[in-house]
Amino acid sequence: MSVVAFERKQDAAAWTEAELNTVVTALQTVMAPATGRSWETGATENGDVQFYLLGPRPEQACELCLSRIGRQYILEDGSGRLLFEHRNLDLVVLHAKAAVSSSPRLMVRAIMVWCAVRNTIQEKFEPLLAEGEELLVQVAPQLAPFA
Amino acid sequence: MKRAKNQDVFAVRAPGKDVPEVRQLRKQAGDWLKQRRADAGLSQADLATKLGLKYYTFISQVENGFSRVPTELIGAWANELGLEQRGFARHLLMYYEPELHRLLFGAESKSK
Repeated sequence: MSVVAFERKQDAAAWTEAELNTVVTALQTVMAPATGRSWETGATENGDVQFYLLGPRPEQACELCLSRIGRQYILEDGSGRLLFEHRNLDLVVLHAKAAVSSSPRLMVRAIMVWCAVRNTIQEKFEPLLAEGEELLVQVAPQLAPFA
Repeated sequence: MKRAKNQDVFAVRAPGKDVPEVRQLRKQAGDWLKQRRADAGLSQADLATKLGLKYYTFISQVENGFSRVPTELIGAWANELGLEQRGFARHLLMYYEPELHRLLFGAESKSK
């Protein structure tokens, strides 16, 4: 007799260990002790599970909320703004990570842009300025009689 | 906060944390909001739809005490619960900004 192994239905009312591991592992860096962040889980009145990434004390306000409704994962910020939704948890978690660490990334980008601009100025404009200065030094004595 | 069955099997809260007053007050606000919603005969999904939210997960986020009702939603939230906007905002302020509430309105009971 052969037994068909049906896929065990996922308990909608709880995060699976694998799901929680995926989320916590991915957010490990943004939840480092120095950041003061922590996390908790909860559920909607329908039993849809939620994962809350909490900011530092004393507020400990929700910075991100990851919910699972059916097979869909929903990522929202603490103001209820929908950031991303997908069936693939890895993808959603990537967005969560990016959302939390967006400010340092922006700062890094700004610094990179500033360095690039400065470098361009040094490479392109400084030789021109030096050239102009040289020209002025040569021309200035000839202009003296007209002064 | 509503906990799922067997949820305690996995680390529900990061270890070594007590609950500060700010969070307790936010949780109380969430409980109060949940009760007002129940009085209005609305589910979280109903309220989310009325507020123009795609999902009801944010209602749960607020009612579980992890977030506040955003200022821009206070008026609409009050309307959908059949409450007067000013009184609703004032009551929420008691939980969200207790000191500001005390300065503005003096001591007031939370059991409204």
